[in-house]
Amino acid sequence: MNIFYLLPALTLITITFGLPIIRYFWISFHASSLLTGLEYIPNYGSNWLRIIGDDRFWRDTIQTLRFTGVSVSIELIIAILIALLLNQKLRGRGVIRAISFLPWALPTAVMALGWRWIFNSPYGPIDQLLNLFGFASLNILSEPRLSWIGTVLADVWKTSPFISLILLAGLQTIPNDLYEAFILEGGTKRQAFFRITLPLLEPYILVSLLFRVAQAFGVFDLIQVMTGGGPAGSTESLAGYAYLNAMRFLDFGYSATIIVFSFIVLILVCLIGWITISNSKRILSS
Amino acid sequence: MNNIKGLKTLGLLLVTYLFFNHIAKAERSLNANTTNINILMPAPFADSTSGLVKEFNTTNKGNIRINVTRGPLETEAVSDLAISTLLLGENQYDILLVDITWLAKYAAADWLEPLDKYIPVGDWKRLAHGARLGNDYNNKIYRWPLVSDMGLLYWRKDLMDSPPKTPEELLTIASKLKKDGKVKYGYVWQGRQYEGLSCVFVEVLAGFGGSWLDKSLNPNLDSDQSIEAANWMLSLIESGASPKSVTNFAETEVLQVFEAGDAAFMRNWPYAWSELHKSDSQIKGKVGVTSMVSILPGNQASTLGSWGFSILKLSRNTKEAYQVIRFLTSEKAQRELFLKNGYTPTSRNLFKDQLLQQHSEILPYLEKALSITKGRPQTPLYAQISNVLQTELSSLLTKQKSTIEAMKSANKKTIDILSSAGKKK
Amino acid sequence: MTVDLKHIGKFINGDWVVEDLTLTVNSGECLAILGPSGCGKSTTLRLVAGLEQTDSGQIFINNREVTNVAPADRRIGMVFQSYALFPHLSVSSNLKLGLKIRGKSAKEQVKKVSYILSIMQIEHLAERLPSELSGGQRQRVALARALIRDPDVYLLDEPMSNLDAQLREELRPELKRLILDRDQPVLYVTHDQYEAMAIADRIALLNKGKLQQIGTPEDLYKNPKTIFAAGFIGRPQINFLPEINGMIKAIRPENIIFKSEGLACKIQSREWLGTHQLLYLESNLGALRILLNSETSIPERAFISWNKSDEHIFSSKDGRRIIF
Repeated sequence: MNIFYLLPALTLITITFGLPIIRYFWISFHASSLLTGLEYIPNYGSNWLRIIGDDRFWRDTIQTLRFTGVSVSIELIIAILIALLLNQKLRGRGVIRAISFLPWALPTAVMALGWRWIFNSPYGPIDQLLNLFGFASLNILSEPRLSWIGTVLADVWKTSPFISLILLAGLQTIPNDLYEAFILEGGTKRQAFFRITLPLLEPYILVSLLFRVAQAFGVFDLIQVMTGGGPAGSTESLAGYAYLNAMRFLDFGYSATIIVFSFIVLILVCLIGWITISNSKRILSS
Repeated sequence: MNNIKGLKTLGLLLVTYLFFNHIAKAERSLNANTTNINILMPAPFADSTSGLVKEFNTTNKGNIRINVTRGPLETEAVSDLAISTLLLGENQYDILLVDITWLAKYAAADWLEPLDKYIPVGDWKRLAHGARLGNDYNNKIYRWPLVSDMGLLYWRKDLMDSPPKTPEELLTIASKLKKDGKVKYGYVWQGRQYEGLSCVFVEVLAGFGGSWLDKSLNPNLDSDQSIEAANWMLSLIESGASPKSVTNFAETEVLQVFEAGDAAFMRNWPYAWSELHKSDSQIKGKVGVTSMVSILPGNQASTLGSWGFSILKLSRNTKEAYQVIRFLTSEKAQRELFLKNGYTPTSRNLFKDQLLQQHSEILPYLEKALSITKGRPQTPLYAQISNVLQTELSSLLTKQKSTIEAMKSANKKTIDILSSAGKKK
Repeated sequence: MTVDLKHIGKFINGDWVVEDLTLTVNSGECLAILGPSGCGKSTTLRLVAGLEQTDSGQIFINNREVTNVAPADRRIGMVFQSYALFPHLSVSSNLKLGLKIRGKSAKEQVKKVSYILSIMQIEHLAERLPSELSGGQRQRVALARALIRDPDVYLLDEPMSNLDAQLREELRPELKRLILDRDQPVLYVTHDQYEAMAIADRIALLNKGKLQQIGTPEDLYKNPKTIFAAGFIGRPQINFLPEINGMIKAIRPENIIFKSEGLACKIQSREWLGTHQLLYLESNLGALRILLNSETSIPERAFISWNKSDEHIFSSKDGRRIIF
């Protein structure tokens, strides 16, 4: 009987997520490119063999994981700080909240263009400021070892508010009594953060991490606008590579293989997250 | 009470919908004999041709009606949009404004209608030499050019008497002007990892006497000329003639620097001329135009980049579509687009036109550049091999790899891509 | 061991939430702070705990002034209305946390916790999370957490208000055994007068931040010093008679009896309460409640009367009791 109520949602999920993934999986075992006249010709896993030997693919995988890991970690720390700040009873808290969520509301392409401008050498504000004080230009987006940091910064700026929104909701579920009880036990504010706030925020942290890891792992438009994957391919992401293969090279078989691979990696990450959440969930079931 | 109110609102909406639906139907039936021709163009082209489209629609009332879809601003985003609809097999558009680099790919995918049977031989010959290039694939014409586009070297008349002719000269003058504090940067060009970098390289490579692919479509990227050309580009950065930041410069950034008077040279397309002569320009009247430098005078080249109209195979109105194309590319239309938007003409005649020459001093330079244009490889796999070239050039320019290492790798990868195609064919 | 509050006050948003409050809780004594919601009783407790700072007056615990001492150093054991158990920690970890922070050795922690668990008879709950406990069990854990610190004073903030009536009755003797029978003074905040009367040695009645009366439950019931005290203490509520010559007389419902003659009344309605019955009457002196033994038969023509000595008389000017 209960399954009946789930039917609409299940149907929707199947149509919007299930079927495409199954289709991509099917395509990944076919050659479909200009060479096949865009027909699907079974090639018995040779796309998957090609992936194994594709240095660019593995470089992109590592770069995507690096981007995801670093930006999501920084975002989390910043988001916790923002959430703690916004949870204070400050004067004009509403205005501060609204402003701090602004980056998140901006379209990615627009804000990426903004960051490309900020990092622009010589006219961007960062360079102008550095030059003003007699320092050399930073050239962050022109330097393969640094350019990924530029994309991370932009991503952090854009998505920290999203995490802090979730964490703020989490913070507001923690009753003040707990902190008072903790202070009566002789604890300091710092200890309260590590012994009460963080453990109680854990489910919220994990949920936002799930969202953000999935999102960051599929990063595309941000990088496309800021660096186009360069310089020297140093910022190319898996999604960018999949896009190139599909839309520019018209090699749909290989593109589908990359997408399915990313999907598998993501599912693994989410599974780990889900198991951790369900372990910590019983804490808050009161 | 609330329910009744809701029903009333719903009823009102329904009536409104039916009313407008009826009007729309009536309008459609009135124009039952009108053939609609839908064109997808990048936003800037949709804007610049809007006057012509309006004119066409007024004169052809009741027969053919042009509907322009204003596509995205960015070249590749337009291609993405077009490909998405083509893959779905929808005949949403009759005509597509096609960039020169897409043509082979689209033709190979069998998305384009060959135009040979429509084009009178005499008409084709009226096109300038450069404008005739890049419209065919496998000996069939698929595209009629709307605007010629080729790489130019912009130079500052106030800083030198005549532009450099050889790579050596360009490097020396740029370095010297920079060293003397005359300009902040010597020479700015498109060094970002994207199609623009391939365009820059094509010209430079020709200037060094080399080529990307030889006549039998084998890559030549590890030849001495290729390596010298790449080394020269690297030396621009190393010597300080070009700023380090060129490795993330696209057209916009380059124009920005040159427009501000901060550079002595700029590599860009003809559109930059009108940008540099807008009223707020710092260097109005101080700009000269020439073609890219070369070691031997005969090797000067200008990368061809051009847009043209193709008819999509799925179109049901190919005849009318061709009529539309010819209208939008007529000499009258070209004249208008040149005067208003600075679009380089495609007809030979127009370069001799006195009125146009008076209007713009660069017309002779454009004509010259158009006579030495160098096309990019015409293979359906162009996107792949260009992507390889861009990445490897970017690696050597940012010193991730040595020049030889990068160019050898580019050559090998290009062979792999092209031979995989040969194998399966 | 004592608690002394000397003229303490708390000023919030232009109002004295607690005003000039002076009282003493003696060793072994349980003082209930009783009053309607918003009377300042919880604030008083939080002032003693140090969770809020006083704006006037002094607080002494064991004759040591603690007015400006940090909460953790006041040697208090507090039970919150919500229990404030740490949801992510098991029962034993909840009890251990304070010991850990205070730097007690692991061995001592285990020893103390198991001792407390055994007196509270909740050893079997040691490894459960608060969310896996019933309301009564959570309350025991909260009490245990106050107890384990061996404080100089216990502060209980409505500890029973989240429990149902039956459970409260069951837990009262427990509470007495575990906390109230100890030497430490207990401050017990409640809005429930029955609970206050059942548990406390003395009651401090507060209204709008001011102390109305302090005394034994019997004292408060029999000799209410103000109209407020008379009206607040005792259910069904005392009957106030119409003002005459600046005086308001009040008579408790149980002090009114039927007589063959006296004040003529009409019976409006009747509530049967088991041991008693409550009648609502209409008379020349207005509406009256009278509480009778449930066996008492109700006459058809009712006349009521009461002893003069049972009357409480207050001044209508300042609401204070008039003593002749």
